[in-house]
Amino acid sequence: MITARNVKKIYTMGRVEVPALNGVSLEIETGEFVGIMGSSGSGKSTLLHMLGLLDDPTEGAITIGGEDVLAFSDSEKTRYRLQRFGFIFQDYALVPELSALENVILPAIARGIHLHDAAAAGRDYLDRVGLVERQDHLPAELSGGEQQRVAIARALVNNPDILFADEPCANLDSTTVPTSTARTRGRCSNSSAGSTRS
Amino acid sequence: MFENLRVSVFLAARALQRGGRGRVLLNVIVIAFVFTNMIFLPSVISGAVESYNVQTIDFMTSDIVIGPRLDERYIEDADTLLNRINRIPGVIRASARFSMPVSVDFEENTVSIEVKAFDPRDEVEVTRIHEFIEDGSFLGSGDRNEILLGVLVAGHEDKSKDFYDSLGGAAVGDMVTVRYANGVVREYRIKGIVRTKSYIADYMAFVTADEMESVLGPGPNTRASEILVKATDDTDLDALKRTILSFGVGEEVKTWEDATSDIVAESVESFNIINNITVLGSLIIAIVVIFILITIKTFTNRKQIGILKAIGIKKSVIINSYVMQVFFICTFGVILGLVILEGMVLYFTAFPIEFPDGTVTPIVDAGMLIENTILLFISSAVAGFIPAWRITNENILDAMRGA
Repeated sequence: MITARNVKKIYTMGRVEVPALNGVSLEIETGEFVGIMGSSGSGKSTLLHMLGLLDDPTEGAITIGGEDVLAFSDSEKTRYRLQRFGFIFQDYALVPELSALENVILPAIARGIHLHDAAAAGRDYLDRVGLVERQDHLPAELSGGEQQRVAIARALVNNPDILFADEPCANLDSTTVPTSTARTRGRCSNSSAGSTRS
Repeated sequence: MFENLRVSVFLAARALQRGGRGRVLLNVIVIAFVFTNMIFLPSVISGAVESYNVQTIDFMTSDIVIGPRLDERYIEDADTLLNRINRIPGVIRASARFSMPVSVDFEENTVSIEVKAFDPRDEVEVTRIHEFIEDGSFLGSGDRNEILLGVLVAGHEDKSKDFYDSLGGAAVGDMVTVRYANGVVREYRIKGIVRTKSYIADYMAFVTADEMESVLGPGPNTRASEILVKATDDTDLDALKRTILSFGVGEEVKTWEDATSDIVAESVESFNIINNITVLGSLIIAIVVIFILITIKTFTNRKQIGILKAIGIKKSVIINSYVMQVFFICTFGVILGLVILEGMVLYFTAFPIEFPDGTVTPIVDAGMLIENTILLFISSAVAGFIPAWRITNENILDAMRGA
């Protein structure tokens, strides 16, 4: 279970303080699929970043499975993200020097899975998002929607406990959205949190 | 640990493969020239030192030089000492030399130099002066009215070409007047001109020991300023020196290294300072190049570094991937540098560098190669590590935004 209590985030820009989150509290149960909706600039991505341990809140508490994850050191957070989280970023966030397949298998290799096994799993996930034939293409050679699907495959390859998806369907066409969403829901073993514009 | 290394290698390999081959090649070339620069000048200096050592042995000291006892000007009863030394195992031959300051007149020119007298039969087995006769011939044992001049003593007709005072182009067959320090004046025919390319040997004159005896006049025994000893090739000179001393020789016995140690040590020390400055300069260039390269690379890859951190790749893995790229560039830079260096050494072996004191062939020492390679790698690793470390310590989201 993910719990957030009174999470605040204030960005300081020079002398100006810009509040991005103002005391958000939530609970996400195991197996729950949560969508966070709001207008542009309402703090959806910021909240996902806090829950995903990519940034620290200015105030508040976050626990995952009862653990105070904000008390983790940087390296513990890194390990936690690798072992338990999957991320789908708004702008795909693919590594430009890696092919589609290499992008997908990178988290698996980092977890210690043998390259051969990781590649097999990576191809499987690329096949599920309909991109196996483009596995050797670099991100620059893929369309926005294709890059997004590679990002989805990468987020799922380690079978994460928790999946964070920041506007995952923003660049997908109407025919791809339903299948991708279904696969995303189906493959994540625990909780999922996603944001989308209302 | 192994997984981390594997990921670092994976990221480094892909970055090199797809991160701009032209840029990688350019960096390899820069490192190659930095490496060449680090090695070449020291190798020339090593060659110059070696050339100086060879000249010292061939023309000045032979393998071992025996000087007068402390507080004495000459070695007394030199013939007896020569006989004793010539019986020592490992000695090819010993040659007694007697030196005296003289002034030499030719036409309106006068030079003040040192004349060395020796028995030519002994001398040819101990030094190589006889092999460097530019004109005329070497002295014979019976020669009494003939002199051998160093090429710098003979000089040029156009004296502006001479660095030292010279006789203004004295040639073989010309007569010169030699005024010895003891007041004796002799006329000699120039029998030969010596060009050894050693400044010291080429600014001397040589006469036979018989001639010097007549100049010195009758004495109680034969005297020498020094005795040069030539040893067989496989002889340990320090051991031979101890053997000579154990044969009851009370004179000062030195190996050629001992004899020249002060002069050579000073020169080598000066050369080492130049070497160190060159190596330091090259290292600074290498560090700056690698630092700029990795700074630019990490800065342009900030977003990518942020992504890697976001998906759970450790900072150390990311940093190592950049250090590995630096090692790759350095490895190929060193290999290319070795090829360039080998080419330069081959060229300068075929066409040696003309130094005023002789020709110099670069000598590449394996120890120097290893030491400088290690220095280059360590410096480059540090220069690569710092910018990578700096960027990986940035906030993940700032890095991902490229802000």
